[in-house]
Amino acid sequence: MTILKTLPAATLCALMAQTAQGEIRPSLALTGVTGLIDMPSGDQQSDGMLSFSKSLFGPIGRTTLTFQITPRLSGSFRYSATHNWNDVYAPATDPTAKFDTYYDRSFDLRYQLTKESKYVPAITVGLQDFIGTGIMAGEYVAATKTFGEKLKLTAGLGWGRYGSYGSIGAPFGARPSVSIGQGGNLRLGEWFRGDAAPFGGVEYAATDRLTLKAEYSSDAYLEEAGLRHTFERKSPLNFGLEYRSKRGATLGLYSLYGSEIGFSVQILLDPKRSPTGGQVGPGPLPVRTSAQAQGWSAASVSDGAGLAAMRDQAQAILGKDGIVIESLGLSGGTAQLRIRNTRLDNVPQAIGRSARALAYVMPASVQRFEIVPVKQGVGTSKVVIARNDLENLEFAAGQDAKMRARALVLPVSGRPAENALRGEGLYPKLTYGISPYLATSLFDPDAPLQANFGLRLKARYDIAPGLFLSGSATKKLIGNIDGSNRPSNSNARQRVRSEAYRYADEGDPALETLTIAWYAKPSDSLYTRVTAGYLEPMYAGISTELLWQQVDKPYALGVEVNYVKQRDFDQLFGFQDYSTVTGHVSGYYHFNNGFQAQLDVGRYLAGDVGATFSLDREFANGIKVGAFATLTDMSAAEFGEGSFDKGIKIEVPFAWLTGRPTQKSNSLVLRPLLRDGGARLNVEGRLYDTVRDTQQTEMDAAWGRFWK
Amino acid sequence: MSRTTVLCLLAGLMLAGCSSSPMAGRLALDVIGVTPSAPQAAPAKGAPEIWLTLPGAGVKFAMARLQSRDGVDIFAAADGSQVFLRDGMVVGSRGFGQDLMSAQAPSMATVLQMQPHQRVAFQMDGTDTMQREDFSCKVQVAAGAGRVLEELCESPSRVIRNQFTLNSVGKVLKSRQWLTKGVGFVIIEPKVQG
Repeated sequence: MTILKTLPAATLCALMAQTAQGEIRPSLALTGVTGLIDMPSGDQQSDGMLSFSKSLFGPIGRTTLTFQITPRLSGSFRYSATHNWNDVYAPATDPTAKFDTYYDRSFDLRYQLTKESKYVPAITVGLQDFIGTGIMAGEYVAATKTFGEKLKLTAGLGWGRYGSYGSIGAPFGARPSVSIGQGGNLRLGEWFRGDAAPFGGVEYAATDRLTLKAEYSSDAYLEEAGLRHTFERKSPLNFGLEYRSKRGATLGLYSLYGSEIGFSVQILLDPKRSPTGGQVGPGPLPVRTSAQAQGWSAASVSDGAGLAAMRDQAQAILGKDGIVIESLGLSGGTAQLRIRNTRLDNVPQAIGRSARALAYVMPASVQRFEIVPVKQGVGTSKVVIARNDLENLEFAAGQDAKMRARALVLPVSGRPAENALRGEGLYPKLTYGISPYLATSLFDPDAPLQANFGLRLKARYDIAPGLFLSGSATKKLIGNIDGSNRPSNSNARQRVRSEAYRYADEGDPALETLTIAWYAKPSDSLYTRVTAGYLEPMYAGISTELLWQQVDKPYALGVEVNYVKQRDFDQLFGFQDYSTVTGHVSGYYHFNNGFQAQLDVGRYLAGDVGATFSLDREFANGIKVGAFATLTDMSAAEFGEGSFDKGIKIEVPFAWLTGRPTQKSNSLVLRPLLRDGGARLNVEGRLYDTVRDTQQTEMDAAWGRFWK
Repeated sequence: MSRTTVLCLLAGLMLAGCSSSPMAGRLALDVIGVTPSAPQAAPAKGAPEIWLTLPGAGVKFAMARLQSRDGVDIFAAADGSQVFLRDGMVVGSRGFGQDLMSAQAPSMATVLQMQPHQRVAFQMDGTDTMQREDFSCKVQVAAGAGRVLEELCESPSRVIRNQFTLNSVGKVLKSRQWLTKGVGFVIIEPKVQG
């Protein structure tokens, strides 16, 4: 099961504020993929769309998250529940006989071979449940064509589940039988094998908001209806109507298989359409030209008092945007401003606002602005802007591309020049805050949703640039996470993660983290981190990291070595007996189309050795959707159910949802199972995540907001 | 899954992990934690003002001139949102959500002389990716009473009709101009002092 410590948010309301623009948008089937009612269709969602669907008919409930990874490829993660599983059929030989409700996780992939055009239908090939236990397994090819403005016809051929009713033969040979074993295997030998059966249906857009659907289903529900009689499949015909509300959610009502009524809720999130259209609120400071520049006397430009006054003026301006000045240096006609951006969710916007502040404050003799974003006390890149360009391009059409062509992104030293003036009151400094938190425990078959709600105290003491103490503690107020229902049955050498529920249960109050950290930059492209203390709720120790990242390259290389000891379940100061050395070599690559790949190779917490590959689709607005998988030398028997560690992660920034500047984000990591293989240390502030958004590749993608 | 968990899981899957920045030394309940920003600068007292109406949202508010440079006037509202006018033509906005980031617009003289021309608009979609939209425009006298010129502009995605209401001596009294798909039209008229 997955345990997440989270914060309640108005995400759902904000998402539903996205208004549909009145197109006939492809809708989702009960299986959560683009389709009719229970059958898939040849359509796909628009690129980047994230959709969530919850459906229920008879004893079968499905919750599905689907992401349109590229315009042609979509992936889904589904959690389904079949009730009354063992009411009628529960022989001793059946490993699932003890379940009243059978819960299943499945992953799908769909690829659109052809897009719809005047004469050609949209054709999609899909793999359903391709690495799960196999209960939902099926493959299909579906074609959909629109006729006129309101009518869509779908016809397809299915295998596996989709070939179980009305079969027309087995064109590619017999299908190996499904054994509901450990799951988590790619059963390549099964795909498109066995009986194939046709399916099809029609969708009619009666109004802008109301759609009527009818279909012929080729899914016989052999297991659920045939063997176990959880419901009666009287007919292959399904009917439904779906209503898309103004707020963007779609509700569906269906008649299924001649015997059941079904419901569904679908919510779609399109990263290309933010709820507010973009950032609202105050615009930037207008550019002040050299001709109107402040008249600082030559003496005050070169002496400390003048520089302090300039810094204070600039800080008064930038403070309104949550930008803190780390240092300000003057050298000839160049001003170097090192900034800590605490609020804006877009780095080029922070740089643009800083350039405007410099134009406001600096005398006419300063014509070159260098702005250095600082992370954890260390300068990470240097953006050089000519004052002339700032003045000339303020109202130019296509100003973002023009400024990017003229601005330079250069490597920079970790520390400012000796004679630069530091920001005031930055070190030493204590900051702290209290906020509510919500921890959830998902996918426990006995209680799929449990939650704890409480308060979290976070504090940070900055000693010097790059050196700080920090900690966080939580106190549960109310909740029902109780893992004693399902103790870990892991056979791994050490239960390094599978007893997470015990930490959540017994950690009250809990000292989540208490660390001292030191960040440094030995050279222009080399970053280092050392973190020591209680690194995360389950482990304490020392974590060291080295990252090589050149400012203008889309790739980076890092190495991390940690020595850790497993903490007591009460998340206070004590330890268990287990300690280990873990570490990885990591390669990172940020592709131009927004895909971020990461490969980590090394030794995990249980002493297993292997690799993790993760691939994320990232948008310049901060929305990230990705998947990861880990394979190690821990055997499937030792690992247990699921065979290897895998999961998906979704991040949606608050700023995108609300249109207001903030760096907080909603993030979700969904692991179908939390086992002990492929477990990495969760240490905060890893180097790549810290510096990446100030490097050229990501700044280029986000540059549109420079002038905002 | 029991029906009682339907809504719970709905909310559950949308629940958030919070990565917050440190509060500035103040004890504060931080539910969403969005700090409101203050405007960077305020217009001078007595600066010329305009009324800006957003017919799509049904709001009308005053904006005062913050700066005038290079032929462009920046008008700012009390909340700091801004609109840029070159010769009475909207060439940019800030703080309206989907802002018009920059534009190539005709001069008012070109419109008054009813000459065909091109427009280019730059705005960002929800992923902060800049999109360029090119329009071909022509100007005609609008049907109906009064001196109203209609600028009909076509792009591959849309057709828009900007309108300019003139007084007896041919000066623009009021204009209705397209901003972006997210905001729609804005109506601009001078705010008479006193």
